[in-house]
Amino acid sequence: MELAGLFTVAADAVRLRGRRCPACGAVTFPGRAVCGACGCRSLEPAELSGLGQVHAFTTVDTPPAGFDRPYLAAVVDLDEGPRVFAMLTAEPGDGRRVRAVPARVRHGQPGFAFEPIGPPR
Amino acid sequence: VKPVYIAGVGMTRFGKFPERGLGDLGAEAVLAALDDAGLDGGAVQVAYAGHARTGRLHGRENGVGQLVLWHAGIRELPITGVGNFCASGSSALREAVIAVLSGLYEVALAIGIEKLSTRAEKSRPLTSDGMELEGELGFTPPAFFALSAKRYMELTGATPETFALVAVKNRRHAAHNPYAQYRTPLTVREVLDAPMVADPLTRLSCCPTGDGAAAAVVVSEAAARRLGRARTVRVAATSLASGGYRPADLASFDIDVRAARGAYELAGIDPGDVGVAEVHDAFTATEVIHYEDLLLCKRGDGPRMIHDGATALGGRLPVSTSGGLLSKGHPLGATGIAQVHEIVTQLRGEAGPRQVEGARVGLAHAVGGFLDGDEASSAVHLFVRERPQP
Repeated sequence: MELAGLFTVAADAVRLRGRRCPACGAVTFPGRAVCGACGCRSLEPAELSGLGQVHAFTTVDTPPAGFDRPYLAAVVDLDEGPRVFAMLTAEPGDGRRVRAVPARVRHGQPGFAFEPIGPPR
Repeated sequence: VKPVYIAGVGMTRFGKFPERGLGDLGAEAVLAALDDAGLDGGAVQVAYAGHARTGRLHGRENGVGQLVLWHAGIRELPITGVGNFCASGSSALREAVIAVLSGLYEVALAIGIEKLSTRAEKSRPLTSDGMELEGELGFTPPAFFALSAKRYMELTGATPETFALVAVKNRRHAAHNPYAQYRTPLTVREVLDAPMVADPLTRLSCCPTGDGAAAAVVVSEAAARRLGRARTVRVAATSLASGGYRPADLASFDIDVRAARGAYELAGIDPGDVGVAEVHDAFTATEVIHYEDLLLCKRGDGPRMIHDGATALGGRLPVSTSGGLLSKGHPLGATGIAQVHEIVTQLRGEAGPRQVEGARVGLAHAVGGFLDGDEASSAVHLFVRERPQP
């Protein structure tokens, strides 16, 4: 699956392309037509900061096809609200803050992962 | 709600049978269920077949029910395929129950079937439908539930040993189930030392893939009376939920709580009345989380349920007496109906050395798929024995 439409890269920061509800402010990633919170049908494109907090992380030792080595995986709660499953570049620090950065994903294709910010663990 | 009954159940052994076809496996289960009910194929008026991976693996996304019933010599009836991830079999059962409840049919057949042994990517985790984007980013079902396990450990003090005890318990149960895929006893050490899949889940903390089929005959009260009610078991509730999405915390799944509450309310049954349960133990940790989400214990008491032996045979509420997905096996579409096979066998008092004495209410729970950080579907069924066990 092509990931190209889901994010943009500026300098070394990844911004995620979601949608924001003009009525209630709820943000969705990936985008969809209708707000899941209030039912509004005119969601607007929204560029998400890529900043968030790790809800949980683990080491995947038995990877699916297209991933060669063990990797760190996490669910990240983006500051704007959506929750994303992605790889981590390193274990998060105490505050578990992370930011999205460009990374090679399945079969080496360009995508994104999350990098810890703040003091290391 | 009008009473609806299970008049017969049948299943194949679960395991790896690459030489067998979908039709032949399914027909074995169907004929066993019909024999168990004392009916012949001509009595079946409508059928639902649950399967989740036959399209991708066998080029047969549709028509598995027709194929199975063709092999069983049954024709000229309405047949519908039911796809709902790992809850496909449970969803087929639900459709059969609703068909009888509607009054349109007296005898409905629910079939669950899957054949995974021929898949490529051996020793890789099975993927889940609809997770293309997440799959590109590293998602696998065991990775997701490992994250869930990690959160559960943070909140409750559960340890890898807590979860390993589930694998040991379910394997001990499976030793008494001739249909189970794996029956050799396991130790906690073996579970913890098995190759790591996604921390804290090792290979022995994850259910195996395999082949198998199961079937259940669902009948109206009038048909149950004609068949003689000695061995029928009443379906007290069917409940199916989809995700609320982005659960507050991965240590609990609101979708399972909603499915369970829906079943208890429909049946007018208190969770404390459940005497035997088959839950979706695709991973050791999820069985413990399910104890809480299915309201089988208080919030935070999951680890104690397993450490105290409450959910082992002989305990207060034996769970996964069949061996569960972990040891009986998990041929996706077959699972939900194989759970019914176990609960019906228990409530009839026909479970032999794994019999739960005195159980009157049984619960079956299957979960399937993922969407937006949540499970996609959760099915809970309740069954009641109306006569004393023999």
